[in-house]
Amino acid sequence: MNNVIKDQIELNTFLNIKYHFPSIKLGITKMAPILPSVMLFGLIFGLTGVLSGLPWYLISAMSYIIFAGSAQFIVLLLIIKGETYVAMVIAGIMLNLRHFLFGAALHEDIKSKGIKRLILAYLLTDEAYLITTLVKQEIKTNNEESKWQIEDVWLGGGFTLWLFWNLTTILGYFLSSQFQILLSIPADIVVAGTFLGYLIMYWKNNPHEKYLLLIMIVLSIILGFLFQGSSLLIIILLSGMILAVIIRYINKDETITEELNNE
Amino acid sequence: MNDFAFFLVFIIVGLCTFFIRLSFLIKIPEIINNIYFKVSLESITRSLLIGLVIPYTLFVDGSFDILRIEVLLIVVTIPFLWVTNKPGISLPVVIILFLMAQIKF
Repeated sequence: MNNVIKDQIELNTFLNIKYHFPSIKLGITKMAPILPSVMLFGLIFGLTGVLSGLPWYLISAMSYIIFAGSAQFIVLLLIIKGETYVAMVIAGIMLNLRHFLFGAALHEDIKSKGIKRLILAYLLTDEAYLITTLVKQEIKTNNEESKWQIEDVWLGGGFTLWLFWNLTTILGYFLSSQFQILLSIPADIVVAGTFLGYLIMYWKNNPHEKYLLLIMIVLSIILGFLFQGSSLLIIILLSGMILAVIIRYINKDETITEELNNE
Repeated sequence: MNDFAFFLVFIIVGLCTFFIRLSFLIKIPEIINNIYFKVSLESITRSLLIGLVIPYTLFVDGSFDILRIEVLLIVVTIPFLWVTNKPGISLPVVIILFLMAQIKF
């Protein structure tokens, strides 16, 4: 069943949820390059799950209930170490606090209400956020806002990620003996290697931000001496926000006025 | 420790994660709905990319360590990605180089 909601976008309906199929497809396509990393981590997670002694259905349950890679890993490591339930809950929640910021950043892109909004919230991972915002930026640059539904790009990318994460988690658990070699690849290089290409593209596509990027790179190195893990990531995000505000404030005549006018 | 207790822990962490993600999607408090807050939110993508690449490349368990094969591999990959413009091949290239570096002649 099709119906036209916007001038240019033809939306489909499934279980009373309206969606724009080309945008979903775009989300899937954009998520595809990240999938090797997701699959690798999924396999490693399943493999680590075997070490915890938990049955496969509980390891799998973590992937579809929590659906947040880093939080799942920390909870799993705490289980292996025999820590308390409270420690697991606190650590898992603390790691995901950055998602407040993702929600705020994408707030304006959500037009749907009800079940679709809940699904989008469930699918809001680091990767889904990155893909959605990078596509949003690309669409804005090409002046194609009327052709795409950002929330459906997010839906397509997020669901693809969810599917591959859950499948590889189970696969890693059952084929643990075959995937031992994966444990020899350092997790750090997998994370850095996955997002390095996107950082370079960001640098190339936003030449006006290169000094800001350089400052942030230096800042992230300095902060790396003081913090580590998820707290470092949160501090880098907050520092980046403060820095962006300071720089825009200094250049407010040129930038903020322009943005206010655009609004 | 039993399976049910673990399942309960997953439910609590999962629900909290879900509500953290959902909260600002539903409503942003008026106080933060201003131009400076928007500017700061725009910076998240940039900071997230840097936060996922730089510390993971240069630090190991909180210690600054650049004399590693992994750092060299990342550096070698940069011009390759710069020329090809394909972010998707980033991880495969790094992993292939890593596995090649592991081969003992």
